[in-house]
Amino acid sequence: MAPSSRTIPTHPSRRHWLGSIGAMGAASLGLDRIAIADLLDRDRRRESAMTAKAPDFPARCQSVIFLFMVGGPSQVDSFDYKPLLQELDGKPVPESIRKAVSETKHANVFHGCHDKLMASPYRFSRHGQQGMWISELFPHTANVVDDLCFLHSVQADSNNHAPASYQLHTGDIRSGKASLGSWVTYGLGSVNEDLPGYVTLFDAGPLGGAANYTNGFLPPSYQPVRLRTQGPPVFDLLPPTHWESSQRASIDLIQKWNEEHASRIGPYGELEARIASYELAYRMQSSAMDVGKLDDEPSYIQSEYGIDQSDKRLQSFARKCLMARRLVERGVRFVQVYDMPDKDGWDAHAKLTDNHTPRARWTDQPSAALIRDLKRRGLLDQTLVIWASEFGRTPMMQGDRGRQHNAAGFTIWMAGGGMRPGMRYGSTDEIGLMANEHPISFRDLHATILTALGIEYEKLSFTVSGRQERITGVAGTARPIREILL
Amino acid sequence: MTRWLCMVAVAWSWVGFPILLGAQESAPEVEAKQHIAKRAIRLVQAKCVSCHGPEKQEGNLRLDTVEHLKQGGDRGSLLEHRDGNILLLRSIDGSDPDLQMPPKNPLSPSEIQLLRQWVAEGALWFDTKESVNSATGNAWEDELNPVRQRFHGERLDLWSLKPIERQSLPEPRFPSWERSSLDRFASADWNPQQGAPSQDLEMRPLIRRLSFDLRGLPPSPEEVDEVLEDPSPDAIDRYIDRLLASPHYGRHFARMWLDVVRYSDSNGFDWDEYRKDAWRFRDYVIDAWNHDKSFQNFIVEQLAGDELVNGAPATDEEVARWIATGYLRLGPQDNAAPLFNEQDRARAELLADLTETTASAFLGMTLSCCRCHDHKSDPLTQEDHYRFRAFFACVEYGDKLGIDLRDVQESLEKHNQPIEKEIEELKKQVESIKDKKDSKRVELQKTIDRRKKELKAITPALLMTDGQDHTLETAVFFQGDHRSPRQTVQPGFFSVLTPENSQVIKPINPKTSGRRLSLAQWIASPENRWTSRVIVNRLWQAQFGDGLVSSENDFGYTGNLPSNPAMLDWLAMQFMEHDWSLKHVQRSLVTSRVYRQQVPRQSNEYALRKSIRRLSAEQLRDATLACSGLLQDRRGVASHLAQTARRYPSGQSRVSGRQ
Repeated sequence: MAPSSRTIPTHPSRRHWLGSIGAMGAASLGLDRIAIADLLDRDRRRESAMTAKAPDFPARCQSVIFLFMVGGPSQVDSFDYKPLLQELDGKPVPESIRKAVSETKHANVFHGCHDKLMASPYRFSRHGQQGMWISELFPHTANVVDDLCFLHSVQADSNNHAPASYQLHTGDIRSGKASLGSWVTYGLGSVNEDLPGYVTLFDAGPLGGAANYTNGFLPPSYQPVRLRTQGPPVFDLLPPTHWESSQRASIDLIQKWNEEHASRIGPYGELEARIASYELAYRMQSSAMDVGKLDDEPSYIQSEYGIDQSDKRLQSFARKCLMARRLVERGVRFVQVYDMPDKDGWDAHAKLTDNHTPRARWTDQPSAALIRDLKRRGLLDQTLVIWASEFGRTPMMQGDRGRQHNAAGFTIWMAGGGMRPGMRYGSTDEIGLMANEHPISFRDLHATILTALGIEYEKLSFTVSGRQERITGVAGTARPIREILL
Repeated sequence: MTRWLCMVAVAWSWVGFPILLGAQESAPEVEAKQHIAKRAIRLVQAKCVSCHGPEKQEGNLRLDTVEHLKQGGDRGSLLEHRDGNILLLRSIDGSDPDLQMPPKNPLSPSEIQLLRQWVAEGALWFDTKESVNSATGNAWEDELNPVRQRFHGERLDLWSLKPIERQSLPEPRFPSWERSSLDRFASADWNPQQGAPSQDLEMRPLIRRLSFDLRGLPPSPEEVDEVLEDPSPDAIDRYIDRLLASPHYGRHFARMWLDVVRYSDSNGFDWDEYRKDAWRFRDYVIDAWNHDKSFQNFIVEQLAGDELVNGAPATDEEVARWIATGYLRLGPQDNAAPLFNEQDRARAELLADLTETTASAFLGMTLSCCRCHDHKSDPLTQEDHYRFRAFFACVEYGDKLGIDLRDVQESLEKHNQPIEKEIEELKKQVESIKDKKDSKRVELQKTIDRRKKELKAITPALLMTDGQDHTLETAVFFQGDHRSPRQTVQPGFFSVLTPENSQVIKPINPKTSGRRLSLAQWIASPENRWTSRVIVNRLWQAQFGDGLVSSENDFGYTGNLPSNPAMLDWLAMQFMEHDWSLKHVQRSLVTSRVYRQQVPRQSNEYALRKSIRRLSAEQLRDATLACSGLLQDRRGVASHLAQTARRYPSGQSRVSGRQ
């Protein structure tokens, strides 16, 4: 792997500690497994790829929870209220707006739509101190609206799921780049070395698959670990009982061989990652089992998130949100959560209400509970919560009362982590079709998130085949949205 | 490129500026003037158009078309006589300090002379879409070569740009140790003061190394015994021959090649749909390696197998040529783009994938950089990417063509045609009955469904061929964005070597353009500086862990230099002289002494294998299955789709253990 602007620690330090630990004969100490793990852990603290690093400047937040709404929820039915759209139900798109959109790279947004607008079937009302308009789809979110910062003018470069989703995750509409979670852990490491620094939680992943959340060209130490939120977070985490007592000795032997191999072949990212993951897996036998004990949470917390609800899908997203809180509480740097319970997501090409009503019900309560819970614990200041999708939907009708994808202008929200609460930034035109004030690219969004984390977004780079890759792109066109940062 | 389709010479006429091109001139004189004019236009393009062209118009001046030149800019016409001066010449020759063009890198005396002559001869103009390149030579001989212009004469000492040189065999250094010519090249590179070659492997580990390296499987106990008990001195060499003849050899090396050409059994985009017919290409590759197909043919078939067959395939060999075009189909496939009117983006991605994969797989050159801008380190311009891309400009999916032999296709058609006709008739009748519940309509529909089932299907495969339009143009995309097309280019190879447009061959298949065939023949030519070096380096890498060039897909400046250039060129030459036989090269690798060496145990030992190697995932899995007698020896079947992958998409597997 080519050298990069941030050095990846190499093996000498590890050889040093393994020498001392290997000789100790851990299993012979006669302690129980977890106690041994704890004892050894103190000695195993060492400089690794995941060791926490100081930010470039004082950080506004420490961790990120990214709630990814797969498939494109509609902004005009949720957080971007457009009275004119309600008036123009069944009418064609106003000529001035059609013309403005047609002259941009978003002209294809009309493709596949009827030439008529569809009013939102949902009622909007005002909430919070600022009187923000929110639809009846999100009653719980409406209750925490004063903590949220809305961006109404986000744009993607493709109107198709996979490219837009790749772009939101990695900065590029093509697959193969590194995801935001990998970049952030590459830049900052993780505070808790007993848990992965970058965790994904999902049932069905985003469209375009693992290429979304992958480490891409970044060293394999920065790949995410998927945890389950039901039962043990990792399959096969605990050893078979007959192996329990000798497990540590076995791992030490494997590590010793790996170390010998590493000392012969020199720095090698995959071997680095392999050695690190044996250790991490060993430590996770206690740490991951512990973080996964959602049922130990007090019942009022469980019901606040919705875990006690009978609806399995609501329950499932609630468990993910609660798990996300427990992870950042323990110092995990980046948690990527996907809401998609099945293969459809928010992709309401027909019968919008059949799609959006249940999906909002599954996600609204847990997302709002997460904000409240973090706030109560004083964690919201240092945790950035992002609610976003790859794009929104058109105000035009598609098929039978559905809506088409819309990359020209849509809404996301962020909360905590140095974002101004109770803020609205940017806007779309009168019908909610295209951003017309402060258009925000995903690159700007990434620059903003990195800035909140105390990372110089132009400096966070990795050299691949002579090219200095950055999540904000090589062109240097990204600008953080300073107006929304505290 | 000499095929000027519409070479339009435009003679200019200005006030005080005579038309010089007259009928009385002889053909050679006209040709000479045209030559000068093309060179002059190329110079103007290279030196002036970046500030006076479509992107920028400094001084309201453009120099990219004849109309704009005539018009002039703020200072008036460039070619008009004024005070005994011509503005164009005055601005380049340094006589006017206020007007020094180009401002940073003044033209050389010979370049100034060229423009003087051009103006004096009437400033002939050629449409820049046509080949002004044809008047330009390679970067070493011609200062007007676009690469030389663009990079100011730098970047021309790239090692892989140099022709492959015939190597004389080095003097023996460890005569008693060296076993083959290859060993002489290896030892010539060693410094004997630092020690001696490491020990040979013992027989058992050597047999194991050979078996895994050539076949991807462990040796069976019987095999080991057989070799060990064979008293003849060439026992190992005969074992090598057996391994090279094993059907597992092709499977093992197909895995390497399939990785190089980005093979996958799914679409790699959006829903990642299963490619149920991809396996035919997989088997084509296995067969090619097992039969030691000449690498030249292997190249040409993958890039242009369809161009070699006239009509439906008449033989199994022609079927294989069609299947080989699966190479062109293996990139990510975006099926959803048309739903959002983004087919232009998907098309641009397809062509970029073909361009970049072909350049890196066969030539070890990184054309992906030049998709958006000139290469940052190698002698490749942005136009080079699009000239290369133009070879693929006509491609279309050909899956519906099928791969049945000609007589089968004919009989299928004979069988299907009347049924299709009948179905069409029936459909018309159905449409004429409005009521969907009408019993006659329901009955008709049933008949249609029944008849449809009688249709016989073609045998499908992943195929690519050319569409009907063979004149498709390729535009350079500004910053790589397909929504910002700029000047068009013609098919052409790397302009550092050959700036002229490529001569497009007329193929046997009348339905294809010949473009890919032309590219394939250039790649497969012995003159090509990269092809043979790149493949023998891959073979070396397969046997020794690291390639002689350790950056196997990058033979440019950002890649690594060859550790032993003489050996690389010697191998490349041997390869070409032995009919581009892959097995020949592999045999010379594994029968050498250096191959038998142990990984060095001490610092004063030499070996080309520097460290022990891990088995690949496939080797490890197959070894487990082979040892336990579970390895299935089947061919001609679709790839196995692992069900666990669906249940645990992010790599959590569940085999045993407590929950």
